[in-house]
Amino acid sequence: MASSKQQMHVLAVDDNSVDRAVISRILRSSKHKVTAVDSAQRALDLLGLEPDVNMIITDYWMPDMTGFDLLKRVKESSVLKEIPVVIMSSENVPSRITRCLEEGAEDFLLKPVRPADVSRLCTRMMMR
Amino acid sequence: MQELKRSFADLKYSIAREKILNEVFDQLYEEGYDFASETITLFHSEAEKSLTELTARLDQEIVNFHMLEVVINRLKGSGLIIGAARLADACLTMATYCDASNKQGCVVSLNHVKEEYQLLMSKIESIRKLENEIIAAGGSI
Repeated sequence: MASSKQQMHVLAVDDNSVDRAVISRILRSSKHKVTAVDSAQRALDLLGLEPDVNMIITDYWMPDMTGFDLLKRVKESSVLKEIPVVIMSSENVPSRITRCLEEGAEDFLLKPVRPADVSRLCTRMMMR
Repeated sequence: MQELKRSFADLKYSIAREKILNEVFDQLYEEGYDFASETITLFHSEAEKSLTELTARLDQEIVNFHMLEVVINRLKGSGLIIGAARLADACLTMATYCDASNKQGCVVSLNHVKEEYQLLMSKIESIRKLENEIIAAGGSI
């Protein structure tokens, strides 16, 4: 691609409303478009409708479908697999981190997520 | 004003020393006072809902420990977002009991979570009160 986009459309997935509000705020203050949903299923429904998502950032631990399950579903889909997926977790479990990265996660962020972590991530994404 | 700011600094210092809130709380303010304030309000309402749900679930004849663990982890996550270190630790203890399906352990640890939450909210109230006084006196946070 010739030029890098300045604005990304990020899909934020987290069952915790406080986390959703914080991650959305951080992304919006860097001028990105954010769609925030409270479950992996809703994320998949949305991805089926709106293919212009540039990055998915998801909590690991969610009831029903975890962020890891969402990651697998995205990577298994021919339509969605190129979308980078970032996993967030409040627990630093090395085996979990490795498993996510091996499954194709772009990155793994420890919560609480700092604005600096997110802007570093977005900068990297936009340079692809 | 100096008096107010000194009281404010002392309050923040004692809260940090007791590890009720850590540096993550201060980092919220880097995104702006309104953002910090909104996040704290959101935390408060989310926490109240979680605590109500946890109490109700533990009151049941047959306890669904998996759902209990989901809710306590959610509360832990919310706590971490605002830097409520001690609350998050109390939640982690309860999560361990949930994982072991230990009802008695859950009951005792939930009481501890509630105590930490009450303590946290009273400190946050004190912080807000002083912040409002500083702002009313023409200062800024």
